[in-house]
Amino acid sequence: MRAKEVRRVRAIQVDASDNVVTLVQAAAAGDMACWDGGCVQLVEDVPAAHKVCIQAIPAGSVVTKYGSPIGLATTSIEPGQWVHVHNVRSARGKGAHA
Amino acid sequence: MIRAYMRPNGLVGVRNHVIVLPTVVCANAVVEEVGRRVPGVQPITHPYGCTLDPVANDEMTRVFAGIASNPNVYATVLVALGCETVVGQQVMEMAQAAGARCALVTVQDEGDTFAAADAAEKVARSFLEEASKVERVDCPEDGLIIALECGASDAFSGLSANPAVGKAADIMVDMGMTVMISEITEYMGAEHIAAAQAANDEVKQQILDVVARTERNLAAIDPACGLSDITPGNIEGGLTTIEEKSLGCIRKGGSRPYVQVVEYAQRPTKKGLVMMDTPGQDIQSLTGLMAGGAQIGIFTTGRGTPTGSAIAPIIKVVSNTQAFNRMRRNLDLNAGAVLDGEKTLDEMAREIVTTVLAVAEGKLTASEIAGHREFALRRYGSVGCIY
Repeated sequence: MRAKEVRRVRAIQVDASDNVVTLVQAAAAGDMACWDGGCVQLVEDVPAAHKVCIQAIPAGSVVTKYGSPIGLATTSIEPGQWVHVHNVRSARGKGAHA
Repeated sequence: MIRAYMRPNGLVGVRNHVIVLPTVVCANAVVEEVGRRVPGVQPITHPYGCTLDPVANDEMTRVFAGIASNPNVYATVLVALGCETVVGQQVMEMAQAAGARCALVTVQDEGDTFAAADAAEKVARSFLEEASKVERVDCPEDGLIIALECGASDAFSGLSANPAVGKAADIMVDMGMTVMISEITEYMGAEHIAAAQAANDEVKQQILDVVARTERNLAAIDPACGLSDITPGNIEGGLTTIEEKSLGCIRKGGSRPYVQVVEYAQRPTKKGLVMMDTPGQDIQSLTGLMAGGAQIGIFTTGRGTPTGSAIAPIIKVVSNTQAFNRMRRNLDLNAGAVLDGEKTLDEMAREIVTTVLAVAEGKLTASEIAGHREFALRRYGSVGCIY
């Protein structure tokens, strides 16, 4: 029996140093998110415009997008995982004093 | 050259409004009544004008005078109550010193709101008659100040609409225009990029100082405030932190040097890319930009927002096709075409510049057609919990 073909979903990596990519459309667990430079298989459903981890991010370390820090991981984040408010916190503004 | 209104003080207007502006909330009913009686005017209402805070008082005076002296405004009927802390006479004198045509009607001097409405209606009609005789003439493009704003952003904003506007900003700066970016809360986490883009060390320090001042104000907010620092819509749209939002937002400014940092509602004195200290709340920010002399706004959005301005056309550029189709009648341009692979950022930027020039010559924007005339002031010292 042939394996079901894996769906590919377009993603954008803004800067080559980013450890997350942004999905251009919504994707489901098992889909491959592909950008100029690679693909990662999603381990969970991720909405359009949201971010997917492409390199392991240890708890407490920096999440990078646009080549700059966008916050700190509050737990370790693995490639293919959804990266959002449940596992990242701001280090600026009120976030700096949280 | 563009076909626009050359004002006696040399400023260029793209609209020829007669506005009726209360200098205090207590005069709103008079302004609304004049708006009903004389539909050709732009009535503006707001909840400000009397405060025990002298800093806010001075700022409101400057903002009202700045709005009245925006070159899109042919003339202003100011309506005061008479006992408030923002003094109508001072607003009028400050506006006139900047070259504005305005008149003041004071409710307590006229007798009551009915008598004040009669007096204000009379002045408004005569201003409208005068305004109707003013024609568009050839004006230099470098007389334009283009305000940049974003609101109801999503994570596509920083990938399509904002970088397209940034490329348009570069084109407009190269044409000699002033492009005024705003919302300092949305520089937190991105100030290193803006600072590196400063024309000189003085501007660089001003950029870093104004962002640090904003962040200190936020740190002073009671932690019990308990809200997130970006909006629920931002979060649903994929934005996770203020840093991420900022890094996307500042792409609107493009790549030309920052030549000046101005205070809220202050008119820039340099041409090129300018930063104004405004809050992240869209309407408060737009009011400051217009009081600082901007004649046109370019407003990017991801979730979609209908807001406009009583005195300036606002061109809405949306980040994604889904929102464009959903809010079509509130939006002007769809940068989602970039994500869809239908247009390049450069093509989108040229379309934005073409639209700016058409709007400068009279083309109506979606917010003008829909009658959006939102108006809000920054309240000094209370920045709120959401950027």
